[in-house]
Amino acid sequence: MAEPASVLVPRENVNDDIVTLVRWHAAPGERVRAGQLLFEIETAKTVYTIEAEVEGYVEIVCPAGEEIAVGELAARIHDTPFAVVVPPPAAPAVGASSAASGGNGAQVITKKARALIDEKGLDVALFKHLAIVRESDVQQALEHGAKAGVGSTQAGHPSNASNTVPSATSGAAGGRIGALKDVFVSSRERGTNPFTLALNYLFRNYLLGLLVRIAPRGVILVLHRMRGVKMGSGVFIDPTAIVETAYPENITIGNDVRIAAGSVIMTHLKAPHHLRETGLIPNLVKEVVLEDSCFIGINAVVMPGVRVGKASVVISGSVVFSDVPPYTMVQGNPARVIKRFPRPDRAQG
Amino acid sequence: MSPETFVPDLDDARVLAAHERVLRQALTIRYTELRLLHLFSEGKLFGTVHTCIGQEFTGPAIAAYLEEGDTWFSNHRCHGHFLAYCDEVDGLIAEVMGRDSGVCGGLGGSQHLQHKRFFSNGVQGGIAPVATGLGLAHQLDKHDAISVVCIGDGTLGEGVLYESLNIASRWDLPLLIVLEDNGYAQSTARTQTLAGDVEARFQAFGIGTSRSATWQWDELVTGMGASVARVRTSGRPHCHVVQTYRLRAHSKGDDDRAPAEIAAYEERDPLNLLLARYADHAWVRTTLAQIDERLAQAVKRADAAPYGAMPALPPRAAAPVWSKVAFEKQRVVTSVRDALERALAEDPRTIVFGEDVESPYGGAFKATAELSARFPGRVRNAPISEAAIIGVGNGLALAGYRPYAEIMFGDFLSLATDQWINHAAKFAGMYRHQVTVPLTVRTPMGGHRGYGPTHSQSLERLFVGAPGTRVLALHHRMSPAALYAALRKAEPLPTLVVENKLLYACQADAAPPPGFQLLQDSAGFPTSRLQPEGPADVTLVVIGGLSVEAERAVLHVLEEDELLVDLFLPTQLYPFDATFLAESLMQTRRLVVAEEGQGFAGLGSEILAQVAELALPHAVRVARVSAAPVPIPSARPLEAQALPTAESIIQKIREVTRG
Ligand SMILES: Cc1ncc(C[n+]2csc(CCOP(=O)(O)OP(=O)(O)O)c2C)c(N)n1
Repeated sequence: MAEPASVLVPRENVNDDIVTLVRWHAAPGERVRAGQLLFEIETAKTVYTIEAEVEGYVEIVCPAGEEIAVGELAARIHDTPFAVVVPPPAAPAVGASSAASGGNGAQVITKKARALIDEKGLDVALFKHLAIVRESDVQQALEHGAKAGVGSTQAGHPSNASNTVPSATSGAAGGRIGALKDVFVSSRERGTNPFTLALNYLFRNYLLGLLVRIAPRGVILVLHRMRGVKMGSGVFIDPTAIVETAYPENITIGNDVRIAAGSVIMTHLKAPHHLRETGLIPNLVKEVVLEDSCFIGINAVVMPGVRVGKASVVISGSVVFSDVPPYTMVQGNPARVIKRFPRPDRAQG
Repeated sequence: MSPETFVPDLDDARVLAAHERVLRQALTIRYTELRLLHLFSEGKLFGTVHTCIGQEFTGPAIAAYLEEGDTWFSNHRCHGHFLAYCDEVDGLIAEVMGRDSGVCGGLGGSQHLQHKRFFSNGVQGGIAPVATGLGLAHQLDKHDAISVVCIGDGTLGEGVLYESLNIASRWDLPLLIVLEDNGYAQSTARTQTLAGDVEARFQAFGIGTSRSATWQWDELVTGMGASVARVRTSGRPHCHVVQTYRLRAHSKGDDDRAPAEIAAYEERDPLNLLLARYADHAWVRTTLAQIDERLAQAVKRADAAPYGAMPALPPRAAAPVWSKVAFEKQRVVTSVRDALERALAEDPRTIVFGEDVESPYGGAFKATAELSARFPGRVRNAPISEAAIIGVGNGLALAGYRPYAEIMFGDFLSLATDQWINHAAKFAGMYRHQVTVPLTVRTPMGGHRGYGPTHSQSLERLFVGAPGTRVLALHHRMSPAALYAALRKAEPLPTLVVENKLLYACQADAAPPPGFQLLQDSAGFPTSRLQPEGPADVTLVVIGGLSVEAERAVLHVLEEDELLVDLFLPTQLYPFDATFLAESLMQTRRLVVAEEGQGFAGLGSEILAQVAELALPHAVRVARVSAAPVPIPSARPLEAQALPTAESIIQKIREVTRG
């Protein structure tokens, strides 16, 4: 078996050192002929098409929608079929310190801190409350008795990162936590109007179940709006869809969006006490945005922090962990792009 | 000196009636200027005056045919033109005496007059492209107004004149160039400095010419009428040469011409001859008496008036309020292009022009891609004439348009410096804010592309500091579209937007890297701040597109050195007020300033000077990052050594934190 042929991004003009790979015309592992259209790149000037120079099986290195430098590897072409590796869903950017991605409030662990954590066998979750973890933070944690394995202390200065909500019941590990108490604590934390909170609870726990079969479509939308969901016009939400239980105000829905039966849109994640307290799965509250004209299929799940792009489709039963680019169709668990629609707002070719 | 001087027969009532208006204006001009010379010797004037004694008939000849919408741009020798245009004897005398009641409140003075659609400026040649821009405005207005510009024969030496002639002819603009050929430029005879033929210069651009002389001023008046009519009906430029002679010094006490030569011209001067022949004529006596009385009153009123008011100075910036930002992630060049498209679509006064901006080329960096197809006539290719491009922009702006001029490479802005510093920057201020210049100049600067010494520079330091202007710079932590949108709503100042070649391909992005939050202050053109989540060790201020490298440096020193850097990316480079840095410096006591241009008298020097003046309660350790003092090499590896990069910024960050 020969070395696979490299497909590099060509220089198309003097101005652009970085281009966007806008669209693949070959699927991973697909057999292509020489001269067959492989992908398109967009420069400041226009969109160029790149063709295969040799025959073989395509391995996609740079996914569509990514930026890539001129001269970088976009794909390999193998002369024999090969196992297609599906890239895992985008992991939370913990520890990542490159400017490339990074969301608001994600965490960064310096090199020295990382080395010390590894050396002492500490659990990084110990530092979940810190946006930046330096060596001194790790040392401080060690002084406070942090041990290898599961940590029991928190270290360093309090974080002003917004996505980690302090546990509502910290210190009460093992105790029986009543639903009512949970509500009051979180109500105080969020400073929400008790009426709204009560409405939320009523709606999600009681009214929804009751009204499912009888409420006309318009009333459902009104109820969602009253709960705090931000919503454009022409939206359809099936009565059986769950549009976040605890933080409906963190959901923004554009115009002309359809959410089909059984779908679940979540903006928070709250694990069992043990996992929460040990920091293995910290509490998470992140906004979800469903852009104009997107379509959430039957029994699909949209997880916290996800933005579903304009006119994109989440196929029934998919579980979406990362952003869905506009004009795409995603499928599976985790959901991946399986199709791109032509964009009416972009010049073709 | 052959043909005889024209002296009308004032005893013939019909002749007198035909010439009365022009004669009265010429006499008013003569006696006003004599009075100004007198006031000068009395020490009542500021600076100097350039009189047109001997040349008075040009102004009245032009004024006889002007209509309401016409514009007139004159030069240093402008009093005669001004009086013929509006007869504001009071306003002129008070202006030259520096009084509040002067037409420009004493801010402009003798050479910088403005009243209604009359303007003058004292830079030879620079007024030509501005008048051309006014001509373009008349063309776009679809009225039959014309633009008049008066120049002297000495000004035939200025290159920008020829850029203007070329544009005026190629774009069919209604521009009348009146060339007053008095044979001298200051002390230099035309014969000593002028090669070739005067008319042939204009004819080479396809511009017709006419010629008349002061001494046959009846023909001058009718000839000028024909020239004005020709421009008005054809909508095309025309040049009218007026042969004339200046009887007095160029300005004051600087006349080295042979006394015999001057005396000969005195003897054949039309006003001298007329006054000698008709000294006792009733019309002459009453007219002179009226003029005398007007002047006496004007001087008296000006004497009693207060000096003009000092313009208000901008207040010092308050402490900033920082808040989180959100804007759509977008490729910088796309964002710029979209902003231009929006401006064109929403405001019909928007005109975009520059070299190679039309489709399909769409600008050297594609910032105007496809715009000319959508907005034909309002997105225009200009000739390679940087000075005239900005000058035409000045004229359009004065006429109320919203021009966006693109200079293909920032390096070439040097060719338009006069238009920027002596015209765009000055008009509003020297004309007592009776006009505005909402001109936007966009240009990419920056290197790292291997374009070499003349296509890679960051010259913003040469263009900051001209009062009356604004200089902005794009970086990747602000939205170019938002900047251009804000600019449309902001105070209409001439604004230079420093774009950046490398930045064009980058994404303008509001999502901060892990460990940081992105903030902006509440200024009209806000400073962006990438603030670490924790107490910062170093404050870093970075100019323009170097932001991308700077952010790399910030992330690198966090990862490798555990240093938290508070990164500031100002969008407004001038006017600039460093007050916003105080809070961060109180925490860090260390400051690095980085720019891609030369450091000597650079933006960084200014920032450090202002920080020193903040008089913080403790010392601040400082370092500067800037380009090496060499012409930027073409070879990429050498260029990378000459220009700042993440590495050089990292080095300085380490330097100020060491020891
Ligand atoms: C760009 C520029 N260079 C030099 C001067 C100084 N200057 C003022 S008037 C003048 C002579 C202009 O001669 P001309 O254009 O023939 O006009 P005239 O003075 O004869 O009316 C000079 C050199 C100036 N004002 N602008």
